[in-house]
Amino acid sequence: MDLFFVDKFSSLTSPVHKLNPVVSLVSFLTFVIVVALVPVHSFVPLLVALLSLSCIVLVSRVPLQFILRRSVVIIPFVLAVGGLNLLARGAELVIHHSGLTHSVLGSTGVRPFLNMVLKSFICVLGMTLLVSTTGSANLLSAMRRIGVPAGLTVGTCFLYRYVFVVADELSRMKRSRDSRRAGKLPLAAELRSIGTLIGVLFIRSYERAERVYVAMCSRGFDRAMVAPIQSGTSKRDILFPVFLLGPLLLSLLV
Amino acid sequence: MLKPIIQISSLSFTYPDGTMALDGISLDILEDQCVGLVGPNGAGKTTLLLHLNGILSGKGTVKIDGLEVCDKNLREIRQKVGIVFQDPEDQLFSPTVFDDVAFGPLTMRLEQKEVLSRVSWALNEAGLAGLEKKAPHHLSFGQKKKASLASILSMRPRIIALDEPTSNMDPRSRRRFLQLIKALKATKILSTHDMESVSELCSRVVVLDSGRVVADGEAQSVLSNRELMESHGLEVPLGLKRSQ
Repeated sequence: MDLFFVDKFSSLTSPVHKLNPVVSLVSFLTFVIVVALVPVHSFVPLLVALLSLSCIVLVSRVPLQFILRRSVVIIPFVLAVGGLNLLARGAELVIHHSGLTHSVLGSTGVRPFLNMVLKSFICVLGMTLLVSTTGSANLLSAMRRIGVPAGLTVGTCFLYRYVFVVADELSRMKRSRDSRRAGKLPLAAELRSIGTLIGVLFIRSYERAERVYVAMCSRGFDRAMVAPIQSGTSKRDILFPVFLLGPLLLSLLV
Repeated sequence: MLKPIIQISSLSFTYPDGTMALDGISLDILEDQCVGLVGPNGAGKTTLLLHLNGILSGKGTVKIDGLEVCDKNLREIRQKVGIVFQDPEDQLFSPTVFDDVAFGPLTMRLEQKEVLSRVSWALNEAGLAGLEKKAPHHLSFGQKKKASLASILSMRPRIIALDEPTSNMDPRSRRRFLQLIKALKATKILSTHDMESVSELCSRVVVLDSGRVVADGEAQSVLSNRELMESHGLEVPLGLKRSQ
């Protein structure tokens, strides 16, 4: 399994990579929320947001091709949903207030569709940039610090740590099975063999979990999760949110 | 005179499936001794190690530095006894090497400054300085073993128990890892089938078979006893065979 699949380029040493993970996480999350709240007929704030992100991509030294390849995965989904939006007539919302009746037509057409595509792309671009410049481990630790429940972050930590180990184990088992298979099996036998493989993998993972727990207990684990180490802040941690969010908020206000 | 830091008296343990893993073991280990725990597969070596810090508890008593291994003393005991498990994938469960090495000191509720200093010291001792931010799955097997060792060194244990420390290592990694173990200042217990490393590192050897201590003595005399070694599924180390 590709070991760098999740957070490739997170070990670079650009100014963006050196940001405090909490600052990165909060800034990017706020950025995504603000982008999502941009009115459907408004394009200037989205272009400003795209420009800010492009500058950050350049400073981060994460290859543009990688960022774009990761970000366009959302496009087919947006096109599928947005396509329906192009075909459908907007739903009519009727509001009765103080004896007056207002009728609001839901947004449909090309402009809202393009707006939706652009918004989705910018949001995924932001998230890709966050993971690529912060790294999964720092991100999980930052999530702990902003108050995400320990159960969730610790569970994700274990998933991140062991998904590769389990995937490697599966590939070894599959290789062992294939090396002893002389020909094609009937479908029922094939399914049975896959079922056995999954079952054995589950039991092995369960046993590994027991051993990991023993290793944790050996080092004093008493069911209370320890707080992560705090990392310091610098000037760039103050400048980054200003640079990322400032132009976007200004363009929304003007 | 050196005092016993580990005192095991009439220790027996049976697994829930009925397998008797330890059968009346009594053993004293002196401070700063390096003891090789050898025996065939299923002799009870790992089970014995797991009793040293209360992961398992059987009949009989185990005392660490005068403190009985029981629920109320577990916190203190686990700071005194560090176990390096056979498979580093089990030992290294955190997303980065730093987090793993810091885990022990954090459970000891130490100040952040002290945790950072211990992590830095442990990584230096293990020869892993500069790899703090690496994810364990990005390390080589030899580095994983060193990181496992660093993860317990950061707790500054007085006893270090190593379960099959050299298994699956290539000769160069094995050599470096043995040098690392040799340089550690603590009471060391090596549970292994690697007789060469026992011969090189240990001053005393305890042979276990079917949950019992069948021999206990000075390393060279136990290891060079061909009859004893072969009757318990072991071999005289090559270095000693040549000199016989």
